[in-house]
Amino acid sequence: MTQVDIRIRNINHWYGDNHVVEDVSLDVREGELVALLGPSGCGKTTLLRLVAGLIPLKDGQIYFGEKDVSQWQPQKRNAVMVFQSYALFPHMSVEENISYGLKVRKINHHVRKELIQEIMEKVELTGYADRKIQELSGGQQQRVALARSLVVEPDVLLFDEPLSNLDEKLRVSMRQEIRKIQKSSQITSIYVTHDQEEAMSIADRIVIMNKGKIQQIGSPREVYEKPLNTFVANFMGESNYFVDNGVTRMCRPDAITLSTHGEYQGKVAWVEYLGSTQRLTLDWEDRQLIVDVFNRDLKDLSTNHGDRVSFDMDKRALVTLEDTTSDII
Amino acid sequence: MKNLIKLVLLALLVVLILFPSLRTLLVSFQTDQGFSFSNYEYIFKTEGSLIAIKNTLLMGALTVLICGFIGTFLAFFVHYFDFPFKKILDRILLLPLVVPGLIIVFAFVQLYGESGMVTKTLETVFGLKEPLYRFSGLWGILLVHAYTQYIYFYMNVSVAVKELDRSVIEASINLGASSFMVFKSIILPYIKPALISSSILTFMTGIGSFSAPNIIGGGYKVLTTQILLAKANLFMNLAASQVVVLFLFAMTYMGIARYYEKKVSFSTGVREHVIEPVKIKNKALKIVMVMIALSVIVMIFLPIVTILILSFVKPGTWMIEIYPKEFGLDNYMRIFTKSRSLAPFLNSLKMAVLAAFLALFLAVPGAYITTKTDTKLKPIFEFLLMLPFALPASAIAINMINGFSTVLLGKWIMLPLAYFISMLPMAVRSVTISFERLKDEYAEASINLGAGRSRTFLQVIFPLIAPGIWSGLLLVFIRSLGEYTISTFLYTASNRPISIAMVNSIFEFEIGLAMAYGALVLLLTFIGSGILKKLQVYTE
Repeated sequence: MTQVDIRIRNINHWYGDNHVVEDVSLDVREGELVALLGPSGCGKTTLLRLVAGLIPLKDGQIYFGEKDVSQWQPQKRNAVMVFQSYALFPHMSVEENISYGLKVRKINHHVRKELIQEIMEKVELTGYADRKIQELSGGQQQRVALARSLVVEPDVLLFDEPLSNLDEKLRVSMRQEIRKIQKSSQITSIYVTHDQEEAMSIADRIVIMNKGKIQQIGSPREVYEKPLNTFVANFMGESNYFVDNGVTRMCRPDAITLSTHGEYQGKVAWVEYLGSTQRLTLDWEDRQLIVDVFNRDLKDLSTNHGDRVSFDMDKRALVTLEDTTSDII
Repeated sequence: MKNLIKLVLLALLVVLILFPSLRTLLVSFQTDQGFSFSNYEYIFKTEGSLIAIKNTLLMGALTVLICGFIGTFLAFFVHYFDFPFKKILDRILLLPLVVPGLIIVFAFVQLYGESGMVTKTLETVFGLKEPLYRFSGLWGILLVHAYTQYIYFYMNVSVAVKELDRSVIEASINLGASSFMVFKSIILPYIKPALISSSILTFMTGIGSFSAPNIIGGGYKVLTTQILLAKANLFMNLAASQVVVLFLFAMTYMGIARYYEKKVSFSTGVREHVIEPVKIKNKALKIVMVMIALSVIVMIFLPIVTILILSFVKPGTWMIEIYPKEFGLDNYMRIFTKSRSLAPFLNSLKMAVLAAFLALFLAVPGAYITTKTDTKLKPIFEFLLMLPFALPASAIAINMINGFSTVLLGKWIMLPLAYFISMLPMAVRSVTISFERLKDEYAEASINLGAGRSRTFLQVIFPLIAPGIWSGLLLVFIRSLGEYTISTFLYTASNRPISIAMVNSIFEFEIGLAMAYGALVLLLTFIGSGILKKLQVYTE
């Protein structure tokens, strides 16, 4: 593998009349993992497949390092993908699946054996070499898919919602593992997901897409705390919006704190107990506010349905959005 | 390249399938007075012909009823309840699917015919002067159909029963429903689509049936035998219009049934609880169930075993006794030493192999085009590839004569060509299933890992579709080997298939020889279906 950065320049793509990727430009630094996040149909998977070369690029450029790979055959790009369905070859054993890419690269038998051994240890599949794919659990299949992609030492690693077929618990542990492996191998990666929590936990930076367009690029903290527009604000979590003279501002539910002598007064309209936190809905000046509080911060404040509470709002946490939406509130 | 393949395939399908069918349609309107409806008038106005039509429809309807009852009963019996050796029973119940109809008919004649072994045994045991029943006419035909055609109902209803949603049944019991209510309001709606679609297949094979009416029908005239009669007397125009009428009956039933099928079918939502077979606790009931299972097994194996045993009967030794007494290898010796006797066997082998490869030659690109490409011509390909499925074997034979008699009359190729056309849909379906299961992502993953086109095809795509290709090949081979209907219409003195040789031996009272032919076909059939079973496991 050679470490490369990825530069995507002014990519457009259409399915028939449907403009699915609209003037997208994006830089992924060497060794970085960037998540493409957005609702289904936002163009994120199409963008990923364009980078892999599985869909021919018609408009725009893609560079891996200094090389313009825009018109390269997918075989030549060394940009290996982990598929949503894993796409493991069902007629081959675990080992045959993993060695497929090595055979294509004409790696000699002994080196191949060693590399496979090594990668199987890394993804904790030792002892499974001769298993059939159908005999593996979903999590194990995911590991084989990962191993098959990693073993060829790709320049670029592409993930297409790799965890969406796993259950909640496994998803959390697998995403930590992927993160660890990606960090240690330092392979420049693009990771497609529709799950904002997954994106925040795994990515160095997040690219939020909607209707084929990039909405915002930033670190997980930036896109959560300082969204540029209502779409990003909504997609990344709950928010409170304030419209004033055509300007929309927002804050997250944790920017509001309850206290005994707060500046504002409200009435508890709804309580959701969530373990260490609770999510309150407060009636305040003809509207409702969503507030997240840590239970241990509450002390002797009572937050039962109908209770009157006072609170403060961190003015510095208010973010001005680029767009206005009249239908909020 | 892709377009060239499409073009060649389309041309072949038009020439081999569409053209002969249209020719038949055209011929059916030709009369001595030119273009007219008078052939059809004759069919619907002559008393004898009307009886044949009435008989055909009655035979079709009763076949559906009887097979529907047997098949559904067996499907529930095997899949709804839990009892010993149900797995084996399930496999045995699928056997009649691969046994050629002609062989069953002859086995039944030997067992239940006027001087059949079962008939005579019953006569002796009860001291009767006349046989207890007559195995001929409509009831004889229906007995054969019951044995050979319950299978569509059995297979489809089995799938439906296995897909019953346990939680829905539990919900209905939980809401206070009685067993009868559960059956009426839950189970029946679940299996109704299966019942209707099986009835289509059963009705089509029922009215198109030829072996049974031709051999044991006696005076019971049906359309298929009338078609042969018309063809034998060189009334090709009449034969053509009879074919069209038979086809229209099949299409009408299919149209009506499809309409109802659509109305009653529904897609199920989340289904996580598959039913567990109901355990029978009552001892007496358990014994009854085992008895039923055992008698079903005996019923299925009896004709097959009969053929095998009778194939060893020494020629000329079994004349008036109820059971044969002297056995030997004479019949087989004769087949394998006398070239005149061996010829039909070798000929059928050759034709079946050719038909299988021809079918595949069209089925693979056909299935590829209809599943993996996006072309405006797709519906046309689908229609042409599946058209032979809607045509009874007798219709295909008549089409062949109408389409190609000027160039191919009396040529050897006529017969394997007709086999291949009539069985093409079977091969197409088999290969199509493979292509449908072949996710595009496999090829993409291979390319993505750096593999070129040929490596991707040889190491990923081909191994994944190969089981479908082999099973298509085997299915056509097995079916062609013992084919009787098309053979009867198209064989010539120099081109006798094994089924015709079997019939000839029967009429020459060489029952042992006929049965040896039958046993050879059975042997190859079972070997073939054994391999098929293996392939199915591999595909899953």
